[in-house]
Amino acid sequence: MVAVHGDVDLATVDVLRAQLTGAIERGEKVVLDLREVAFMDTQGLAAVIEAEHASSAAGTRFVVVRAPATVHRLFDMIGLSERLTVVDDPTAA
Amino acid sequence: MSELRAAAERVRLDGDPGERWSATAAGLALVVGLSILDASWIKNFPSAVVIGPFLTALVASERQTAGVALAAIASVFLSATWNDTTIGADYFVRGAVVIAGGAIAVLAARRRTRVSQAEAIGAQLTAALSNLAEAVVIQDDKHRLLYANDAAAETLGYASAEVLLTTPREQLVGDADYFTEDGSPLSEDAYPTSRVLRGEDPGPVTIRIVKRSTGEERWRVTKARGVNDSRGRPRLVVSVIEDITERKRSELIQRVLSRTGEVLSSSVDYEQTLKEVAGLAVPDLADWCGVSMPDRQGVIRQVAVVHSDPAKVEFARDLGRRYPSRISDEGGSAQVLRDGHAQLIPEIPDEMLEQAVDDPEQLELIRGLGMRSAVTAPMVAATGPPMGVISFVNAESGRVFTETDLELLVEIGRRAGIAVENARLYEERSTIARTLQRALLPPALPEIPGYALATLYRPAGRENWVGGDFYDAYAVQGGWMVVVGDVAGRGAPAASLTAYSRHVLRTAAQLHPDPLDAIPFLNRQLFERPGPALCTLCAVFLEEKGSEAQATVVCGGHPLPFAVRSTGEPEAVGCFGTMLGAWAVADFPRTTTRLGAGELLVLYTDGVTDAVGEDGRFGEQRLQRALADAREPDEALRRIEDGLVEFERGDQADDTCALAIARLPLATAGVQLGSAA
Repeated sequence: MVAVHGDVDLATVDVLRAQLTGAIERGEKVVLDLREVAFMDTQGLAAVIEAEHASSAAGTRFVVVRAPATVHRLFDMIGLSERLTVVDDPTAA
Repeated sequence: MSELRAAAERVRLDGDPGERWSATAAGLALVVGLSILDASWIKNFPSAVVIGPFLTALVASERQTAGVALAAIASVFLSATWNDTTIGADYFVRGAVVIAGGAIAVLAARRRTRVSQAEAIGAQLTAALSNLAEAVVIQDDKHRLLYANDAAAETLGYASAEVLLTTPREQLVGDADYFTEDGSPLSEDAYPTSRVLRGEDPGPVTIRIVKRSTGEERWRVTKARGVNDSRGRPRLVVSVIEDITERKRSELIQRVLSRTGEVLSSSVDYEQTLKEVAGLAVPDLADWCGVSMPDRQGVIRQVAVVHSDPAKVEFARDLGRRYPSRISDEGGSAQVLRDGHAQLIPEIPDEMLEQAVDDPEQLELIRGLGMRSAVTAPMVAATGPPMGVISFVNAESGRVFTETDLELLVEIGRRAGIAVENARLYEERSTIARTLQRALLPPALPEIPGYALATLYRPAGRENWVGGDFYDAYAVQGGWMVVVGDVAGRGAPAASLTAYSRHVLRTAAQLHPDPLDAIPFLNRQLFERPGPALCTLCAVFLEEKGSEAQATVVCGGHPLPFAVRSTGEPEAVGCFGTMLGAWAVADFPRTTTRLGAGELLVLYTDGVTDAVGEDGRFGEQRLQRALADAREPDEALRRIEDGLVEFERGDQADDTCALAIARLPLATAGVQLGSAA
């Protein structure tokens, strides 16, 4: 479970990337909780896509808990939402 | 004062009472003896008894003398009785002589005891002062040295208090230069002693003293106090002197080292930095500081020369230019550069200069500098030979460098070396980055007939690593293509990916009959690259449709461009497609819009909308407002830039890129129509 708060941008994306990589390497099912994300830029989206690729390559599940509408719009924008497992409730994951 | 009185009491007790009583007994015996003589043989000479009190006064106390004096006076009157002398004038004269004599003897005894007490107190006090660890000197109102203890002699650099006290004043003062804490010379008027004698209270005064004969530098704190006479004028000055050289030195070292660290890490422009480091050493550590580095031809080039006198700096620079040294030269900087060992020359003898310099004119010029002592330290990086030397020279201040100084100066050289290495690596990398960055941007935008074009590119950071943003504009089959893109990641991987994406897209668009098919092609290319290779872009294909232009917009995971319509209203155009490089199968929907004369299309990267200000992010709405009523591409981009500059707080975080293209009115057609009408 990786829960993100605040802004994911060029300045903070490396923290997120490290957390996700760590979780995937441990072979866990990765739940990325984006409910508290205030902002995400292309760099953040790229990190999510990379994590999705890495977990499918590792054979683990990768689930995203839906971000607020302003951020989720970006997922739609880049065609990410249709290719990810997006849930509204983390317990459902 | 109470201590002094107590001391005086102790002195009185310390005297030898036996001696005093014997003196008193002798005085009495003399008085009695003389009286008997007077009564029996030597008539009319009773005044001689006054010798008794005088003799007593030589040794005994005031009171004992008074006793003997009374006995003498009594004997004079008794002798008158024994001798049946008539009470005449003679009788009274004799009485007066003995009384006056007795009184004088008592006063003499009193004065003698006082003086001997004072002497004893003085002796005890000086004994006490001599044993003090603090350096104490006492001077009179003519600045003459009356007293100094051994600690003072040691502090002032003399073998013993005796040597110090017998050294003539001219020599004491004349052998040293005195400076205040801030480095300005201290005039004799400003000495603590002089100030005390003028009736001032100078408090503790910190003084730097450089001994001329040895070049030794000391720091002292002098606390001077006056001892006033009965009329309140200072007659003596007692100074307690503390040597704080060690403390001062270590403070200085710490300060210079920490300032050096700050200066070295503050900038990547190493030549400027080295000049600043050299500046830190002058004048606290040395009179001169210079940095020299060999160039590729082996000539040792002066990078920095610092002295507090600009004329001397010019002189030294000129000297360096006229007589450049080479790394192959013997001794000096060249030697240090070759073997990497620091060189300490505590005293530079003239023979050394003669030996080192062949040219007689150059020798004269160097002699003119009056160099006394020098340290040359290598600037060494973690690995490799020294990249330069940093030299410290003392001349007119007369100071000499010691082994302790050497350690500090070598440390400064070491730090400077590391900083220079870092700066050089940085510079190399920056050069590579700048070269790549230039390759990422089109050398010049093409002239597109019927359109006006402008671009905005604001890389983040001063010494920017290659940005991930790019723009491009080129002719394709059936029209023109303009592109703005953004590659995920940073640094060199992002840079190479940016170059790759731009060139693949351009080539594919120019070769393909449908230029926009270049986008899914680039998507596959990026997807097949090992490792993440993600990119967003907005591409617009422009075709002529009669007087208007038709723009076909494709956005791969990228913010939609704004079209500023003839009403002045900006509107987002297009719909979102997939981010490039993320998936093998992707969707890039096309949106077609007409671009009338005077209408604008503005493409941008998220560096614009994601810019951080006090009220959050710049956002699309602010962008939209900024673009309202924009007519010219330049104007539109200037508004974006002004809006960002005003909005942003702190450093710009991300690259920012925008491209604006306007459809021009058919001016030539218009003129022809006008002339036809």
